[in-house]
Amino acid sequence: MKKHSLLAPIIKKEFIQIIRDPISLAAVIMIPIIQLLLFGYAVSFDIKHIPMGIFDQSQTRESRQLIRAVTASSYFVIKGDAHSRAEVTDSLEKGNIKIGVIIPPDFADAVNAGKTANVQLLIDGTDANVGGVALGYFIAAAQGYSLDITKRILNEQGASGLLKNFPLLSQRLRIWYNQALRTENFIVPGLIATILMILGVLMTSQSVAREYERGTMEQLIVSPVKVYELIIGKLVPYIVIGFIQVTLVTLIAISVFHVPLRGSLLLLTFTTFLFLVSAMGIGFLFSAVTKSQQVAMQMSFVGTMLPSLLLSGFIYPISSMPLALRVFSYVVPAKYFLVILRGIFLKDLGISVLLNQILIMVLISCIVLTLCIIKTKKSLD
Amino acid sequence: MTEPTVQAVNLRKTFGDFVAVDNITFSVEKGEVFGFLGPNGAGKTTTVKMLCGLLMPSSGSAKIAGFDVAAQPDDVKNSIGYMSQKFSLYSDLSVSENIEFFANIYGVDNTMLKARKKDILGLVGLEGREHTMTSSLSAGWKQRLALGCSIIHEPRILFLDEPTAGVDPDSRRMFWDLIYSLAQKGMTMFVTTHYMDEAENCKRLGFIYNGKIIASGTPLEIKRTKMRGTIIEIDTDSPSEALRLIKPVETMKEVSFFGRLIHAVTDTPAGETEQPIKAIHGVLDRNGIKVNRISTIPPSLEDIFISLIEQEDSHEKA
Repeated sequence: MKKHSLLAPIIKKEFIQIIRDPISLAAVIMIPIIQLLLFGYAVSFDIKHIPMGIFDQSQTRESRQLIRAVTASSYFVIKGDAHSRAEVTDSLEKGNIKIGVIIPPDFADAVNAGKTANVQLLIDGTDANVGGVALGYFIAAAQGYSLDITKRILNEQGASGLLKNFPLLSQRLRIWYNQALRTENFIVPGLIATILMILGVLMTSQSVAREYERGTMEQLIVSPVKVYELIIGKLVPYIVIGFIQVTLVTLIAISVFHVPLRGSLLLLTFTTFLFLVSAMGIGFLFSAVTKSQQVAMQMSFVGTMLPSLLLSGFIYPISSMPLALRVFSYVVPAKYFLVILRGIFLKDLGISVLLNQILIMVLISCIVLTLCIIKTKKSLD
Repeated sequence: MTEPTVQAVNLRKTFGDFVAVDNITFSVEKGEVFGFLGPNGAGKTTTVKMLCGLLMPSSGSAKIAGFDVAAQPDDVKNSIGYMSQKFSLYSDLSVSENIEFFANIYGVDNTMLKARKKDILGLVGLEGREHTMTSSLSAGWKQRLALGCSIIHEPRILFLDEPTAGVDPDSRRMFWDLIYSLAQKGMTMFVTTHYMDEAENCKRLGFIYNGKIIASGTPLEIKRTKMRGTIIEIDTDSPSEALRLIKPVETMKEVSFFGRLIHAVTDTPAGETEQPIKAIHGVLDRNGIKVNRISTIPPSLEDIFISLIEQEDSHEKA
């Protein structure tokens, strides 16, 4: 018998099946768009306009200067002046303010006497993130104010010459890659990786598990189709869908969220391909192990949603995770794709800088596909 | 004669401690309808899967059309067709798309495809319904289509694993007609079933129980050699009273209802049943039960397999 590749019939069959189920097809195309719009608009990590309560017992020029220094930025808004300590703690408890500032009666005296002036800060730590940021902003503002006082006192004492001997640190701030510090620029590439990971694994695992459930997998395995032909044939149509998703999502990122795409489209295409192969290979593996659509679906959600959201560096930096999680994060393909996406979108990084990520994704793909072949061969035992 | 189409020698498959198939040896000749019988869990499907290359034998060997299943799996795959217990078709493809898909993956030439498709549609009786979605076919038709798809590449041997489970009697009859017509064209048919009436249709049988083949041969051979004792069939007006009275009669091994008749199995060989018949008649007469008819009958395969299983089980206990 003539031996030619049996890939084409499998790919063709898979496409017919995909088109026969237009609702699912529409869902896998629409879901990434909807998710991107929802997350893109809803998730913002910028912390601004933190409500602040002040109990100023000093009521002096000095205390007002401090308050002005703190509120000059848009980070804090004053929610009314408190007239007692209890009023501040009450507002904190009710959640009306996140930060309470209590300035003691002797504040101005201490400042003018050149002594250490104490200001009490009460921070609502229930939202650790907001609390931490509020503390940071406040300390920075307060230090700026201290410095002003130091300069003024030195001036008044005619010792301004001494200032030259203070090796003051001067900041020349220049933010790279995301000049306006827009959250969207950070979030959207991350979302693309996460959404594609989840849907990629889900789509393939469902399609392969269905073959097991209906008994057609057995039929394919007794046929002369080679296992690798079977796997590639099953993956190709979903990789095509994956590219449609990526294209749509990228267009939305650029047009709706104004995320700059500075890097090479060719590199983006190539790395997306690698990422899709590894994600869909994982989907194939899940269903070869579970052989059930239901279990494969649960596994896809637990096995991709959480790791891609939490362990990819999408939201939380991996460097601040405990060792065990950091180790686990190495097998999450979204982690590498995220670095690549942010690199290509925002930094115009070239292949040489992203080589490590690319090689790791190649490695993950190879391992996953090999496991697929082994598992499929043994799957009927 | 050429060598057998299927030849299994000491074929064995274990899953952990469990022996699913225990050193079975048998052969199937070309063009024959071979019935592989046994209750559920006896090892039928495991055997078929080993013969098709879906499972690796733990030990022993099997040759299909002269190719070794372990050493030449690709040649085996090209020589066989396989129809599994489930209807292994794509329900979201049309009749024609299913046939084309299986033709393609078996490498049927595009020039041949049209003719083959027409043949298959004619054979299974689905002409004119090429574009029907497979999901809307009835179970019987799906099965015929599955059979059609599994012979698209004209295999030398077709394995059918419980092909008629869950199909209505009419469709079963039609399905068996299809099996015969394929066998007549020289295709070897290896059919597993647990329907005994279907077993009578096979040219030769292998009966597997607890992973061992406990009887093999033509239905007639099995009936001649494997039945110990003789069956006496009794037709009376009050069968339950009669059953109670017959049980203690000398030489009775087993007395049971068979519909509203009674089947009494005696130890005596077929030619020497005058004595037990007289004894049964006597005891029923004395108790005033009218005997409409009493005679020896040839055993059905079901009678034989029940007695074989009982022998095997008592053997096991001993």
